[in-house]
Amino acid sequence: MKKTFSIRTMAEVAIFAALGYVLDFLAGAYSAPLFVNGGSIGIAMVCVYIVAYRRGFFPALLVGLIMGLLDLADGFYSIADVWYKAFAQVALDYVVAYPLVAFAGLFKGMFDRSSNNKGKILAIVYGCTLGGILKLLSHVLSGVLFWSNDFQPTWGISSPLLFSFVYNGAYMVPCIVLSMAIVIFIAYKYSEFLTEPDSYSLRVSNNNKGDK
Amino acid sequence: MKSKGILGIVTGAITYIYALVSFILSFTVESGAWGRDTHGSKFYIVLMLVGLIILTFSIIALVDLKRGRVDALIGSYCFMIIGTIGFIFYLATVIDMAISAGDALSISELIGAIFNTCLAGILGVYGYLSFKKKSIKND
Repeated sequence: MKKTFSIRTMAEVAIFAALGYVLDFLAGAYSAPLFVNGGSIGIAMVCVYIVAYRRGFFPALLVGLIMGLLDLADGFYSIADVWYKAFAQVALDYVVAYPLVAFAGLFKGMFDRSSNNKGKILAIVYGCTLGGILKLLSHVLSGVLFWSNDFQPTWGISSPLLFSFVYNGAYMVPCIVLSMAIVIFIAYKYSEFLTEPDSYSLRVSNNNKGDK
Repeated sequence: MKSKGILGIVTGAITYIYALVSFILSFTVESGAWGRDTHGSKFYIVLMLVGLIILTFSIIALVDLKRGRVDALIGSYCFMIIGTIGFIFYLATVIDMAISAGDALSISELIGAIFNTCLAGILGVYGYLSFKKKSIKND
């Protein structure tokens, strides 16, 4: 039976979670003046995407969970009035958001089966879009919970749901596009980086045997 | 190799425990504009991650050694990753300080952060070059 979490997979999960956390911090540092109510334009999602295509859904889910928990440990805002709303908002913004990106891993099979670049890129586009949109929905829902109490019309928008969608979309859409572009670049230039190392080395050794 | 692995495990564990205790001590809860603002030190989180990475790589090295394989790349891999993580972290710190700068105290901290950025960058580049050199040797 194939092991999902070998010691090397665990090491990769730890490395990408750490890298994702610092990339998130970097994005937060320069985006803070732009998005005063939270959110940043960055490439931290790339770490989850890479693990999703390289190792599959569950290792990517773990990367996302660790990144979310580290983000939570670093600091968070909570609403004081009702505890369950505060709990739901913090969970949606920190604990749930990044693991949802791992759903890109559902397209790993399609990515691995594709023999040409076009198929691989399609798998990346579908996966990155799905993961990114799920993360966006998580932030939108959390924004509605956060703003619904005493929402004042902002930017000419009177609905908290629409405002949350526009505000979170303003940084999430560039994030999805940027991250997707980087993953496509990696797939083009260093495709072995997105291939499971064990299967890659096995294929290389089989090809070498065939040559002999 | 075995002594290096054990040394790595001890160093990683001590770094991790020290960073964890310091992080817990650095935790503060303040009342902000929207509600409660809870904060811990980012520096200790990254230090915890570095400790964990050293620990993981040392365990991998020892497991490989037990199985009769020695991966010469593991040390340079560790340098490269820790250098990269440190570089991004200190770069973010510099940007963060430059954007929210203003008080006199932050100047000395800014110089320290720039120095650390350069140091982590050099460590990352050294790790990468050493990784490349050893990979060519292995081929």
